[in-house]
Amino acid sequence: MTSQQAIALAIIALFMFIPLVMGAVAGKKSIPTTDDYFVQGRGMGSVAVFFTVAATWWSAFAFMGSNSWFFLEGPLYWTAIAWNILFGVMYMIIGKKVWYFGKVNNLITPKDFFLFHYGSEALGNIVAVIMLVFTLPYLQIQLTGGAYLIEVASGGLIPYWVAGLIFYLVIIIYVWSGGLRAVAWTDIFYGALLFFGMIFAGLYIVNIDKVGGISELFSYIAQHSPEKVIVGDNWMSWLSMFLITPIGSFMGPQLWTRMYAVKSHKLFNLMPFLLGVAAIAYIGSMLVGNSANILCPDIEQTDKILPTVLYEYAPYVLACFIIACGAAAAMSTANSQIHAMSAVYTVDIHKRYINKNMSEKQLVWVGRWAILIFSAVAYVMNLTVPGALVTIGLVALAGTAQVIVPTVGALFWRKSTTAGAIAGLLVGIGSLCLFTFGIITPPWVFSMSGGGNLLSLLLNIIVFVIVSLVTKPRPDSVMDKVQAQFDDFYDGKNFE
Amino acid sequence: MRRNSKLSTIGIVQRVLLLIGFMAMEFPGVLFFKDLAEPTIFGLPFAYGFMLLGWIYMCAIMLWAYKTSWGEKDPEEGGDDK
Repeated sequence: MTSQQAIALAIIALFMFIPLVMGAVAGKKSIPTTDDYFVQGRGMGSVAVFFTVAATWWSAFAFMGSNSWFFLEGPLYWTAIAWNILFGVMYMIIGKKVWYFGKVNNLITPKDFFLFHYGSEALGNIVAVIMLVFTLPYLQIQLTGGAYLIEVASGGLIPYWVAGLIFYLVIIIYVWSGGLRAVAWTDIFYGALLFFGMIFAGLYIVNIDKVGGISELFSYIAQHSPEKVIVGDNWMSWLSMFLITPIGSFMGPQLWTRMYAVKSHKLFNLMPFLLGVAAIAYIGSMLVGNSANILCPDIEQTDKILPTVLYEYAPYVLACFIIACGAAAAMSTANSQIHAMSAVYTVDIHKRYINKNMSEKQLVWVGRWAILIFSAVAYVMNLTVPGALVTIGLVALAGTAQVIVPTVGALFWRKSTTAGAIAGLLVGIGSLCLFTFGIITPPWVFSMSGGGNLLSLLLNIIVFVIVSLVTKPRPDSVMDKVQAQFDDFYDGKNFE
Repeated sequence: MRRNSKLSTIGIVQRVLLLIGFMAMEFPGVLFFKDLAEPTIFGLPFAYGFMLLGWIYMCAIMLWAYKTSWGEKDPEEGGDDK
């Protein structure tokens, strides 16, 4: 082992050790109830909420995949600036209401929300299945990104499959012991690293002599690859990513948890601004991805631009540190996804269909074992299902994005019906599968890249509205309860 | 169900301004700048610089919105029944 590898291993060990300590401390504070384990007793404070939402929202997709896209497609991924703002605005407008209904009715999972608003077990089950099926591939790409970064940071000393194993073992240990509290605390650590790591990497790389600064970089690209300084015919992809990415992520089970767990309604008003400001971190990925046009124009595995560029042009320790920040990005998303999927299984499936009489303590244990099993499945997928980070991520997000339609319907349209919600979801998911697997080519402008994801969401909306207009309204017993709580919401009751 | 019954004029203006910002940065805005590389803004090609200007605009609106509770009445300041 060389001294460089020893330093790298020490940095990796540090990054793994700190979350374990946090998990252990969080574990001591936790109490064995599903409410505490899955939504932190609805007492998550403002700092934790911001960092855990931001760190969960940014992932390997953002830290590594984005560099690749800036390198290959020019400004296309820059639409991320706007989608971060959209995410923040949705968190305020939709999230505050979801939080309120969650707090008043003690909701834990997305299915709970749909059971309350539509009174339909079938709709709730469809949502639960969508959450599990489409979150798994997104979880897989976190592992892919994180394991690869650990492998690279160790100078090849830790092979990919071992890196993946370490990555998951650390997550499992601290989520197992501390539940959402451990996840949120570690996300503060990860989120800060991620934000500064992304920006610093970009500013460092663009200012090395070979690149020469921002103006010189883009003069070079404009001269040698002029198609990489314009959006060009990728505009449908630009639009599709702007909508699908934040909506899909916002509707993921891990973000539902982060709406339910918030302590005070006031934070929802501040989050759009905080998340909007934090979006500037993408400038780091933008600079690194574009710098690759000068530094490694012939690179084949473009998801690996960041480590390739850093190890070639930055001091070794600095490179290891920033790479570890990338692993933090993957870990902060993966821990939240595993935890949220465990909640969906435990509350929506196990408690409801397998053993209705379990105690709270027993259910927490079921949740822990679910964490282990979902992690194992994602690990096996990681070793057997290859794919580009952003491509897999976009399909997964397009799946969870479909849930926005019945969610908005429940909160903003009285005429929404259960039949409309189910029909819309089935058509949306069905068309997404047909487009994704190439069985049907999307028509018209939707045949452009990214158009299929957007069209499937539009079809969901159209079917939802039409079927809702011609089918029987939600039962009075459901609507009376919903209406009464909406009245309380607007009257400012039950906020504390 | 009742709509945002306590949304003030300021709240409506803020939401409209955000919508305009999104439209400028996304659709139909993207059709305007999709083939533009010049003029550069902050040393960046037009698409990058334009989005940064949009980001500044949107952050300013969101800060204003936060300061005014997004035009909604704060429950702690007294709802209808408080």
